[in-house]
Amino acid sequence: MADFSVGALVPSVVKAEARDAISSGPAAATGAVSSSETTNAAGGAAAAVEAGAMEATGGVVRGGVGVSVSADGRCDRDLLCPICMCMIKDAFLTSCGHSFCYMCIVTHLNNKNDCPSCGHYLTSSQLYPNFLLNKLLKKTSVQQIAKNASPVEHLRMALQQGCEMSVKDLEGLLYLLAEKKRKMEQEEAETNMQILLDFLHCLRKQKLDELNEVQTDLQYIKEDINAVERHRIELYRARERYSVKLRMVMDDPVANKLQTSIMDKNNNVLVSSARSAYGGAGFGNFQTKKIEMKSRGSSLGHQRKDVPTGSDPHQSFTQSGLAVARKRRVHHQFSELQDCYLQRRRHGASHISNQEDRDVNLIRREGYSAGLEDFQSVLTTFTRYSRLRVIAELRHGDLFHSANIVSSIEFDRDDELFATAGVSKRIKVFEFSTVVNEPADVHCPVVEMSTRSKLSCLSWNKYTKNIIASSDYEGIVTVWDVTTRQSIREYEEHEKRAWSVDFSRTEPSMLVSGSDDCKVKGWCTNQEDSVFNIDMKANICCVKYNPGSSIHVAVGSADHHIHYYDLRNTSMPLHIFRGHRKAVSYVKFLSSNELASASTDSTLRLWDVKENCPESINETLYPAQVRTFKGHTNEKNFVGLTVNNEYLACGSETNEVFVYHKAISKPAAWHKFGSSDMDDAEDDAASYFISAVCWKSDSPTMLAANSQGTIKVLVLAA
Amino acid sequence: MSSPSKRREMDLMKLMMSDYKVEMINDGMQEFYVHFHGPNESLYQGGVWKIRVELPDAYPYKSPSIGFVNKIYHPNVDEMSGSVCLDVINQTWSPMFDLVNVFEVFLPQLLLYPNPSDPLNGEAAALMMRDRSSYEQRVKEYCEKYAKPVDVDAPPDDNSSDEELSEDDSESSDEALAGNPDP
Repeated sequence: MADFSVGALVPSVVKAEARDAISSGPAAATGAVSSSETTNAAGGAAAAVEAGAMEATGGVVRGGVGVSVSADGRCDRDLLCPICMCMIKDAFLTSCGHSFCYMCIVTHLNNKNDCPSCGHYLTSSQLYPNFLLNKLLKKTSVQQIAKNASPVEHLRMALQQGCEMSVKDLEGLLYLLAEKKRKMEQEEAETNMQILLDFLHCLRKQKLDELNEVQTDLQYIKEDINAVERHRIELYRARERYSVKLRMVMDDPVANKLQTSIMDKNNNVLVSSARSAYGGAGFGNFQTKKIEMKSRGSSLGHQRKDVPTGSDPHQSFTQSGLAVARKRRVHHQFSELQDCYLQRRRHGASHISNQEDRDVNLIRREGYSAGLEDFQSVLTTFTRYSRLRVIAELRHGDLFHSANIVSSIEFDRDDELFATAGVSKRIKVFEFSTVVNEPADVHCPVVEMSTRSKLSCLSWNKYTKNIIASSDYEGIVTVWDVTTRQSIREYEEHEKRAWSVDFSRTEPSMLVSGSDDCKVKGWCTNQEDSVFNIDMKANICCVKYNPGSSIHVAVGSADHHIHYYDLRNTSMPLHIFRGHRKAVSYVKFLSSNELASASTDSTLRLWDVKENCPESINETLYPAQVRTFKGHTNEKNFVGLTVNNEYLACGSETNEVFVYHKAISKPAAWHKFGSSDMDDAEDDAASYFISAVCWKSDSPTMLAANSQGTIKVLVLAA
Repeated sequence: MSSPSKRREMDLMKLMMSDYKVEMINDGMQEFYVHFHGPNESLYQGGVWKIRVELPDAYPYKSPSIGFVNKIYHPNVDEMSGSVCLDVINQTWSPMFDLVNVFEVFLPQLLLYPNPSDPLNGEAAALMMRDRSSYEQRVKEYCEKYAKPVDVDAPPDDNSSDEELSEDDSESSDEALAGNPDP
């Protein structure tokens, strides 16, 4: 700040005089010295002397200000208070010669007794007003305002403060102003109209687009109705032909049963169950397939109550109660199904234009287009089931153990055995057929193995029947042989709790595990050390191999994302699936292209996984997230997730199991685990939750276990 | 006194103009990150640190608080939290200083001449006094490990907000939520 250069005074003379004409401040005749001097010159007696000396030596009279104002109008930096960086207000001087705003220096002295500029000891009694500086600053600020004012303001000021103007001048000005005003008003009106016009055009275009879309949709629907009607007529004809044939055969109870079953089936033509290739195939096939469908649809000996047992042909024309129920379900989820239908149909239509070589397959059998066929299978599977039925139940056995949470339940390679594991530190293997077919109060496991610590996850080997892997709270991954009840391998590399373990489907000796230590490790049953290691930044909650590949692994993490890795290059994931709002607790594959995940944000999500798809493909064009499933509650715990190629099932913190069809985002069926002893269950019921679930491959049967230790075998039913 | 924020604005502007990479945390001008390079001819040469600067309400009367986001081994910097000893800053602070001063003068001085009389990292202070060469070794190790440009560019992750699912840890049968993965 010490800038005593006298030379700086000289240039400012000219500017100051020129400015006098504009500024209203009178030229000071006090021999004011350039402010760059005053800020440095002490305000006290010494200053006066100095100022006088300046005067004497230079004899320079500054008009007004003598401030070197820079060309762009900004104030001279020397006029700024170093504390607040604004022009000094109420300048006060310190005994060491520095000036500040009064408020600034006083506030500073409240904290510390020194001069901010030089560090010299200072107290508030050593402050003196700098009158001269204040005066100069006032003048500067006035000048600043004048300089920065626009011509309009200048004119206004001139008029208000009175200046000489003739009537002619005023008339001229008035005329100009009126003209200007008219022009401005016209422009504004024009602009407003333009905006309105644009808006209307836009709206029209939008409505036309909507109309087109609705018309196209109606066209699709019309085509599809025609196709379905044609097919229905064909089916009637076929039935007529067959029943004629049948009457020619001896009256056979079997044939009668077949006939009624066919009739029954035909009642549900509109929402009929899945058909395999019968369009051109012989009738023999047709029959067997129908029976197969029927038995598959009603698994485990479920009897269709509505099947008319008599050979009453008239029954064929009445709709069975079942069909009504199914129709009701359709209406219940109408908007979802509508979206599903439209999406498939539209996508099918656009796909056609892209692939001409697929023309052959365009119109499938029965004249259905690809989209409709897709949709029909969705509708069929969706409406086939409405509820879950319990076919067996077992307590986890120990009434003495208060900790009973079953953290994992899994079927083995052939769906003959299933294993459970949880906080009770035991792996129990049960035989499925025994549990279902022989009702007993307490089912005994065929194998029971004790472990050192609580278990978090199980995974059967997909190739060797009796091998199973477990992960536990100490981070140890163990591979067991259930026939010898011994552990074959113990992998102890994880440093914290391991949450998940999974055997590969395609590479039977490989397994992968994920842990709280943020690492994903791969193991081979032939070797003791890990085969690969992926370091991530957040806790891993779940890992899963892609069932179609031995080198692709999906990892669900507490950072809310799913990281999909190619094991040949673990430095970077192939893709990161973002969308969940909280930690991802489970990842499971429905097929090698479809991935499902569960998270504590109370949703399940379905993702599209294209292995060949590089990271750079634009996600807005090909969004990876296909669907979000909502309906269950999951805010805190691991509630379980299991998928087969049509359905997803998960648990809920309301002690209910939920089943979703993969194409519909609302639940298809659910089941509440009521407690059988109602006495103690009243207040505790709220705190139980389902902790593990498992589908029996692609059948409608599943296992579910809850935090109480109860295990139920459930099946989807109509 | 004229508007208190003028001073802040000006300081921030000056800092941004002077080739330091500044990232605002929110629009309040209260806190921001600055990328700081270790001064040449110091042990910290070549290291890059992300520094969190917080301007208190009483700025410029009170000094800003400085914290190192990625780790640094220095007697006056707390290793876990990265915050620089406030006393050391306060002693030398004056309202005349601005943010550019902090990064041009103050921090380099601090790194070149640590103040062992008021250590936040007692171990570092002791090591410096006792065995200068292994202290220097340690400093360089930390620079290698934690002060690479890639460490500085990573977005700051709030680990504390991630909830961890957990199964039962205690004897009770309810599953408990372990709030913080790094308690």
